[in-house]
Amino acid sequence: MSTSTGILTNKETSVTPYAGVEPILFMEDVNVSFDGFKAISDLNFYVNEGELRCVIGPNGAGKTTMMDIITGKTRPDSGKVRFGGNIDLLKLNEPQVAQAGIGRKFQKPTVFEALTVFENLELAAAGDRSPLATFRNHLNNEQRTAVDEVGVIIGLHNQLHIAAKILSHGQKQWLEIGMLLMQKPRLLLVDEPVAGMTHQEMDRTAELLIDLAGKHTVVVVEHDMDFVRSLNTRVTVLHQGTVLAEGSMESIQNDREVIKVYLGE
Amino acid sequence: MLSVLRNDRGGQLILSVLLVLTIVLPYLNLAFPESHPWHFSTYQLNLFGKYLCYALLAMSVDLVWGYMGFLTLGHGAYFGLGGYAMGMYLMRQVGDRGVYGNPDLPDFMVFLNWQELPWYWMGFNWFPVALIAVFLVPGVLAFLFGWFAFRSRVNGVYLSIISQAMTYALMLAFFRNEFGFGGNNGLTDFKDILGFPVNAQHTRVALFVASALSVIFAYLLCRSIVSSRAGRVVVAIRDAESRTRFLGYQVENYQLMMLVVSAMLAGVAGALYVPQVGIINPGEFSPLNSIEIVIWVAIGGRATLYGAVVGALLVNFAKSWFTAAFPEYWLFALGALFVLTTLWLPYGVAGLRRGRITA
Repeated sequence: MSTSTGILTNKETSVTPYAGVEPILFMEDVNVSFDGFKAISDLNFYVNEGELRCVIGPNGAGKTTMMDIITGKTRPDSGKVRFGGNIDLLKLNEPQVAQAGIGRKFQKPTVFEALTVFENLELAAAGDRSPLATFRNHLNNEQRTAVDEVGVIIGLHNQLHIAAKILSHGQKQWLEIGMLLMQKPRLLLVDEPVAGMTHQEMDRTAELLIDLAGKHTVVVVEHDMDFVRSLNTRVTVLHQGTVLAEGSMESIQNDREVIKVYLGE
Repeated sequence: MLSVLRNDRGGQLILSVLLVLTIVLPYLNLAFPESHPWHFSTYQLNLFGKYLCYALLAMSVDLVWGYMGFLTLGHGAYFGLGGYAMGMYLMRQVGDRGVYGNPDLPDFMVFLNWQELPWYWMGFNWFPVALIAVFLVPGVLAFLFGWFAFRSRVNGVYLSIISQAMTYALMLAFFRNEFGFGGNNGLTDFKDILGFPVNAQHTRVALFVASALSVIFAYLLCRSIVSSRAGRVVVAIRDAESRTRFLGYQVENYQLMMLVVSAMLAGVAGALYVPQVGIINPGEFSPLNSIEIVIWVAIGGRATLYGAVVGALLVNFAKSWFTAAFPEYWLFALGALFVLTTLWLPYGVAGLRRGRITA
């Protein structure tokens, strides 16, 4: 893959990956248009293994579309999207992308309301996902332990056997993050994790995400600037479907272009 | 296999009652002469047997509607196909005892001046072939339907309408004489099943017992599916389909598996139904029939399995009483029942037991 890093450094608009490090997520020259509207235009985006990355941008900047492309929901018109070095994500559908090791949290918390917290986590547990296998198999000890551990991480270990529908909004957000952890993904895509959360819940979520980075690679899409600041990590600014700037929060905040389009000052 | 009933009080109750009836009713029928007050008439037994077939059919609908969220308006198609497979076997058993006395061809083919048996009737004089067809034909149709519909991610109302169109198309096809299934008269005037006269008392009793045992066995099968992890995946698909996909589940495979199992159960119901009523005609494919099944399930209570059984039995016994007392008003009564259930019993009769009326 050294050839591709060579290409990258020549690109002016792109943000180069760290020298010598293989990016776990690699998007290059990606274009998508819906009915003539260019949602993503010549997007180059790289994330390194173990990194915590924030993606910000005004409404319509293409953040969710970018997530859709990575997870196989939307097919780009052109471009390359690779994962873990050699997996071509453009050839996979959503379940295959998930099985390849990418977990996604939706903007609106989406859990299985009719099932218990335990069952939600159980369904997310890594393992064979074919109908026959899930018909025959029960949880093994390892998975059971994983459910308990994740239950503690997301603070729902005392509520494992209640129906997910009676959880609070914030608890549902965490349950969904917990389900992602059960998948044991290499890359976690998290879409607006603190939408509708209280300040305490936000702080806990920030801790959780910082804790996860390192063990997993985490990409967070977020609107809330205070929250992004509290993550204290590398930020990518999207605008009109392409990368406008990338760097630490301070450098972003002082970037003239960014201020113009996004911070609106 | 019984362990799947551990947390299923409703199922324990329904299956126990069914099991008792399966033993007691045939006993009351066979052990006491007709004049005896304890005698249970063969007519009543036969009627009950027929309704048990409906119960099995309702359960197959609950499996895909209640648990998977596919409001099927075409399950009569699978029921009808299972019924026709059995009807073809029964027709072949008639032999030369038909009106025209032709040993090689069923009466309606003689009437149409056909000279030889069409290829798709071959082997149906043999019970095992018919039995395989009872499972295979509805199963294959469901597989094809699901393959195209689920893969193109058709869902909601559109899926329901397509399922209804499918059964309607089959009805039109089966109405045609050239199609080779007896046109609008269907298949009837059966004589024997497995060498026993179809209308004899003992045969009727045996068919009743077979129907009851099928309901019990199918219940255990359905329960083992829905209480497994696969069953929870199916509920997950119903509640949040894309979430399930992003967890790595190939949603279509689950939908396909459930629909095929459900269609096969419906086919078995049809196959047991036909010898008990003595006829199968294209009317079974009518969209109205399929809608009625959905109403049974709604009244009994969705996503409980036993609710479907209760709903089918309740509505049909009510129907046989009502159509005798006020023949013209049955459809109004059924409509009213459906509306009242929707308004005050959103979880159906099964919801009464759970005390979820206010939910």
